[in-house]
Order: sequence, then structure tokens, then C-alpha cells
Amino acid sequence: MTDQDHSENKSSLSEFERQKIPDRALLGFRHFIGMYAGEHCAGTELMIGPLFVAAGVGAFDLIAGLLFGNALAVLSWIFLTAPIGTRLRLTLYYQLEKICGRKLVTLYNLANGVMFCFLAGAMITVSATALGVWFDFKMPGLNDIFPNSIGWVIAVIVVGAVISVVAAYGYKTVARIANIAAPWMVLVFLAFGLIGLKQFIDADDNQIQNAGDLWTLARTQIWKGGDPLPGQVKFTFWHVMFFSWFCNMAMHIGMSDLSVFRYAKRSWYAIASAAGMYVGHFMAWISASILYAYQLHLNPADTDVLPGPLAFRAAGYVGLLCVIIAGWTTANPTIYRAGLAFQAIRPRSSLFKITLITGGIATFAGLFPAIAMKLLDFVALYGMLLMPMGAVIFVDYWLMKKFKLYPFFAEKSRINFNWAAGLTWFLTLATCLLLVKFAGIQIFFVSLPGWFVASALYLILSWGYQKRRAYLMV
Amino acid sequence: MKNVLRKTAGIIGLVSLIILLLPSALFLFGDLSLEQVKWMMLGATLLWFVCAPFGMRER
Repeated sequence: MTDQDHSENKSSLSEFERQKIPDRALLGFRHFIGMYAGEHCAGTELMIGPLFVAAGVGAFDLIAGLLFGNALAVLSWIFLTAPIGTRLRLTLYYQLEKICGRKLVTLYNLANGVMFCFLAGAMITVSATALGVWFDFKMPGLNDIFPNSIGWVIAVIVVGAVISVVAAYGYKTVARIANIAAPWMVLVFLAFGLIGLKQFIDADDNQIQNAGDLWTLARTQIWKGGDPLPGQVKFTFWHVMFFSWFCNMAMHIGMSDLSVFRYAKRSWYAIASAAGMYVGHFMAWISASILYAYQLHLNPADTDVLPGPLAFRAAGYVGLLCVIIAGWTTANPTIYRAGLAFQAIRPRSSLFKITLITGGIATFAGLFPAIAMKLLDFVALYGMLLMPMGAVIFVDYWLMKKFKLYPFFAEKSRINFNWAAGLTWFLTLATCLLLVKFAGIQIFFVSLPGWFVASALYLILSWGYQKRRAYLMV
Repeated sequence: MKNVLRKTAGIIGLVSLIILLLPSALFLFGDLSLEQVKWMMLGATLLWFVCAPFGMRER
């Protein structure tokens, strides 16, 4: 890759990185519909749906939980993220830098980059399960932590190496393939659901005459409720609702999508996120969960959550292709984003080398099936980790002036590390972890009180911190 | 000419997406076997990936 290629790639992704978006660059509503629908129908959906079934979810809890949780996620984008994004029109990182200072943003980048690596690792794991169908090696089980066969190790390394090299060389090409594949992938997911449903109907010669019969099939055979599989947490309506609300917490409440909505002409365009939620996090999760429920129906002892075999049983080679493309096209930008996050820490390093190293870390993470098999917990942890900074941005924009405090304090006082924001982050995480550890609150729920803790802490800490540093103001 | 090609590829792409989904719906109603569904989906997939790059507008 030439330096010119690097700079072209970088400039296309970091356009208007340190300035307000000009009017000529604003985008229409349709752009956001396409972007959200494509981005949220990914390889990991093939893990999450089955993991709901493994968690012993009931039909009503699943459907109602997803309907409400996804609605709350859309509302979070509409009322928390987009209003700030369309008013300030800055990237998340630039806005954070103005609030927190460069050094604290570097720390945030590091945390973000590491989480991106693990997420990409889970996506590599998903893609590698498709190779298992072709080459018939032993694949990991639901409760496996470590790789359990040499075939698995080789498959993950091959998939990870290809994804990493492509991410380093040709981000644009893969982004284009992802755009082309997105409508196809959405329909393949829908086909998974229809095929799985028919397989269930035929399995016990069920007679479906009306919607009532279908609902009976759903609650008695597909999502039966009851005890979770060994090693899994029992999922109720509340678990499903909070999970679907918070699984993209880093993006809405955590404010990552400020970088997206800075391009929106109107803040209500955030309603486009519903396309992603109800296609990817409703239809795709339900479809994937039907495939896994059918596997358990055929053989209750076969608890392995392996998207490759699941998809192959339903749709043959198209299913396998869907697993590979879904994992690949989402792991690729994730590795690239992680590379960018790490490069921000070492700006002089080559993005090419950093992306390759990042891909290597993601591949190493992908070797361990525990990340993918515990994806529900990991996603909740990811949201929780970045949530406090979202609260800091929210309070900084809406409340600081009302309390006679300075917004964008780091920029105004020319400091590199805003301790009020830093301590808010660390203390909120410590509080959340203590609540999980000692108060018995599960990780799926703890981010809600955590957001209020972070908001209150940032106001209180800023009051003391800004008072002592008023002499620095320019 | 380029425009005509793009529009034709776009229409064929759209048809391929319909062919992709239709067999699974017909399978649900018992009108096709699963093997037939898998082959039709494979054909539709090939058609989509051949046509879509020409049919989709550059953004």
C-alpha cells in the first residue's frame, strides 16, 4: 500500500475531523436508513439469537422484550445522540477532546480500540465456523473457553489473517462489498427464519391454520422458556429489553454516533436507526434463534452455538456464504476502526502496520471461543465501559451552563487531562462493577443507574475542579 | 449506454433478490422442497453479486 493510498483511505474516513460539517456535506434521510439497516445486520446476530434460546427465553419475553428494547434504543438515538450531533456537528473524538483533553481522549481511544479488537475477534470466530462445515474439524462447544482442535486454530488464523490483510490494504473495496452484500444478507436472514419455521412445523407434523396456532408453536416449541442451558444466565423480558436497548449503548448513550449524525440535516433523521434495530436486532435475531431452537429440538444434547452449521442446514452454501460475508464485512471495518483508534495514540506509526497488528490481536482473541459464546455479557460490558463518557458529553452540552460551569473545559483551560471527566469515568465504572459484584445487579442492567451516577459525578466533580482552575481560563 | 446498462443491471438485481426470498416463502407453504430452495437461493445469490456492482449507484 502506498502512502498515497494510506492518506486517501484516511482522508475519506476522517473528513472534517476537526471542523464543523459544512452545509454542502449534509446527507439526506435515505442515507441513514441504508447505513443503519446494513450495519446492524452482521455476523454477530447469528450468535446473539441462538444465545437467547440458550438462555431459556420464552416467546412473549423475547418478542415483547425486543419490541420495547429496540424502541428504547431508537429513542436514545433520537433524544440523546442526534440533537447534540446536529447542533455541534463535530466528531465524537473532537468533541471529547474539547471536554476532556487530548490525554484522556487517548485513554478513551485505547479502551475503545481494545474492545473493537475483541468484537472483531468474535466476528472472526463466527466466520471460522463456516470453514468447519467444509473441512469438518472439531469446533468449540457452548461452554468452551479455549480452542479445542488444531483445525479450529488453523481456521481462525486463516480467516483472521485474510481479514486483517484486507483491512490493512483495501478498506474501500471491502466497504463496497459490504454495501453490495447488505440487501442480500438481510433477505438471507429472513429466509433463515422462514425455513427454520417450516422445519419446526414439519418436525412434529404441526398444523398451522391461523396466527393462534403459530403463537402456540412459538411458545411451546421454539422459545419454550424454562431453565437456561448449563453455564448460561436465565433471560426474562427485562433481560431481553435491556440487552436490546443497551447492546449499541456505546453508539447512542455512549455518543459514538455523534460522528454519524453530524452529517444529518435534521435531528429526527435518527429515527432511521429503527431500520437497523428492527431488521438486524429483531428479525435477524429471531431468525437465528429459530435455527438454533430447531437444532435443540432435533437433538437436545447438541447445544453448540455454531453459525456455520446452523446456516448450512437451513440454506446450504448460501447460508455458509452469508456467515462468511456477515463476519468478514463487519470484522473488517471493526479492525480498521480499532487500528485508527490505536493510531491516534501513536500518530507517527504507519496505519498499515497498526491495522495488521490490530488484526493479529483480534485473530488471537478469535481463537478463544469464550468471547463469542459469552457475547451477550461482552456486549453489555462494552456498552458499560464507554457509557460514562456519553453521560459526560450529555451533561457538558445541556447542563454545564445552567449550573454556571464551563462546557468544553479542557479546550478553554488548555489542559490535557480533565480530571473531572476522568474521575467520572473511573468512579462510574468502579460503581458499576461494585453493583455487579456485591449488590447482585446483573451486568445487563447496571448501565442504567451507571448513567445517572456518571451525570451526577461529572457535575459535582466539575464544580470543584473548575473552581480551582478558573485562573487557567482563556 | 452506461445508464441503460446500470438500469438493466439494477432491474436484474432486484429480480434476483425476489428469487432469493421467494423460494423460502414457497417452502413455508409447502410448495417447494428444501433442496430446491437451496439451489434457487444459490442461483439468485450468483445473479445478485454479478449484477449489483453495476446496478448500484456509486455513493
